[in-house]
Amino acid sequence: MKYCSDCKVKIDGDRNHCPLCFREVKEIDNEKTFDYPFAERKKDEKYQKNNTFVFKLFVFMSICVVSICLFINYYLINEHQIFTKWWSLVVLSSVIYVWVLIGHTIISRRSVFEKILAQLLAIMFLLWTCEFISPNKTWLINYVFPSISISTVLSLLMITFIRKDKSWLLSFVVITIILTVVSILSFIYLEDKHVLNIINLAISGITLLGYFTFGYQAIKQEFARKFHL
Amino acid sequence: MQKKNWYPLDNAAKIYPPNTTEASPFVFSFTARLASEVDPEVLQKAVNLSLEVMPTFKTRLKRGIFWYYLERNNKVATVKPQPAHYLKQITPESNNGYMFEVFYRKNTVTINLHHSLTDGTGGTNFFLEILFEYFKLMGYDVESEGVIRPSAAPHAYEESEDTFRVFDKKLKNNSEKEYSAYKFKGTPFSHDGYGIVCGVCKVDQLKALAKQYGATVTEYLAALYMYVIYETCLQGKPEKNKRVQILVPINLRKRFSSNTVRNFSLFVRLKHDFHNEISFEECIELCKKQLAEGSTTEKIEQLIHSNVKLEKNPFMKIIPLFLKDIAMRLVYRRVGENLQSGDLSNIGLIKTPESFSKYLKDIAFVIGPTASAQQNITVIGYNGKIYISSARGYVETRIERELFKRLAKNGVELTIYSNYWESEV
Ligand SMILES: [Zn+2]
Repeated sequence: MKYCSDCKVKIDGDRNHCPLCFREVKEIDNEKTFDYPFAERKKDEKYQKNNTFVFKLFVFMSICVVSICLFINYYLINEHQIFTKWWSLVVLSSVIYVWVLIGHTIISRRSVFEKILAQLLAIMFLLWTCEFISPNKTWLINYVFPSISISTVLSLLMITFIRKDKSWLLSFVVITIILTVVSILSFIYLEDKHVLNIINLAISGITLLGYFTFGYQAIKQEFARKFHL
Repeated sequence: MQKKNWYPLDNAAKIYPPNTTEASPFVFSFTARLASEVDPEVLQKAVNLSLEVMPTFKTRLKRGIFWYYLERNNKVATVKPQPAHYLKQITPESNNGYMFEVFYRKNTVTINLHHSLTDGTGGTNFFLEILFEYFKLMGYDVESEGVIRPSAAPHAYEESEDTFRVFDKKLKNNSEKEYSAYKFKGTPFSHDGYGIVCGVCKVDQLKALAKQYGATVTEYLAALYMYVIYETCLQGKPEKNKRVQILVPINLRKRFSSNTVRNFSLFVRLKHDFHNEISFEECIELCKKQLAEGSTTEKIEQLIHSNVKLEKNPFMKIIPLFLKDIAMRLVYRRVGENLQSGDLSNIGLIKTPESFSKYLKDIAFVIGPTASAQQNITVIGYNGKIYISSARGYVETRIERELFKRLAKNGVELTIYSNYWESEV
């Protein structure tokens, strides 16, 4: 125990100065009453803020890649008529996809619903730009969307079976509903109905029916939680 | 009926999640010094048992579409060694989703709690429950003695109720114009973390001192805190804003006979514009008057109603959460942050079973500073001693120095502890 003659208080601590007035203090006895839980800070312990350098580097690189490609693309089309396709759009959508994948899906703390939705939108946008520059303009809606939809619906269903914790169920159901609605719309407005569209519609419809038949209670509870007023 | 495994946030807690940042963690902590070194494995078991007894804490914070809510959390709330950075923001991602953390170091146990879970009194109950389970597991002869709820008793509904809603009466609130408060100015630490200074004295001495002024300990310390701020930061200085406004929380459990372990306290704002200079005696009278006026049942019921009214408003209800978050941040900046210089929070003498005194030596209570209230004073009493702690977000110790110096000058024998954060590089 130490004593500060200026503040007139006893001091229990290992330093040689008063924590209040910073004057030197002297030991008066060896009594120690209350060992406060002040852990010593290790010298190598890092207290730095989040490192934003990597983030800045990625932003910089993305902007460089996209603008260089856009410029070259524009230059070639305008001056030399070498390509007549806007292939740089695919570069742009790929960069966007990588951003969604790393920034949103992997790093962020967003909900599983938002992550799946963002993934679906980013993939569709990427493939749409691919279709945009390709001569065949029908494969996206006839082949790509139904296959993505089928695989998403089935993977979510599988995860539901495997995971014991049912807290993602409502998100999965809403994603399946969204995919089903889009499938129905594309089915209605499509002129030549492709076989994959029909399979997709059947699978998502049956899955949805299954969710509600077997998981009704769980969905209802999760709904009450998420939407409580 | 199926067991309910989620709770909406209580009325007072709603403001905290959207406003929680690294600079404003809204964390408060209790520390206990035990008679012997803490066994982490036993402590872990004690925490697990306590969570079964008090399921309101066995939760994780989730975002709904319209409101936040607490959902049952089946993961383990892991106990950890005490880090040097005291009162650090609780990040649920690195904490199995829990909004509280339990630490051990040598013979001390510390619990950090986020304000969305509970207030000081609810936190004390939970902390004592953990200590009770720990002592039992260690084989000590401790009894609950009617102070701690026996673990075999089924979980009482009212323990996890939002008592604000229960006591809501339709009353008109005639609010007066509020002014923004003086803010502490100081040199920030060169690294994050808070400076903590704790002063321990005897209850009798402090009570006798307060009695000289016809005041209670809370009234005396609140007045002293205000006056010390005036003397050290404002007196004779060209400060434009000299309105010192101190928040003093009032525990409502006794008054409304509630057993809830969630938030159930409100604040009285003590304020004085020190452009109008007053003596210390006048300052005490002023605090006594404002505390008495602010804590009349009528005033409190008005406050409860005006808070609950907002939550029950159908237009407010149907706004999606992300918009509510923005609104809550704006509201908090206007009426929360802006109006307070600091907190003075007195838990009072805590009730523990007699049999605890052999194993529980000291206790401390600290509220972490926030971006707006850069210094808080907290008081807790146990076993004939009073522990006055100060947590600050800047280097200077002038307020603590004056506060403790004044107490010592008036015959209160103090022992000071500090984490010497200012000298850490
Ligand atoms: Zn001193």
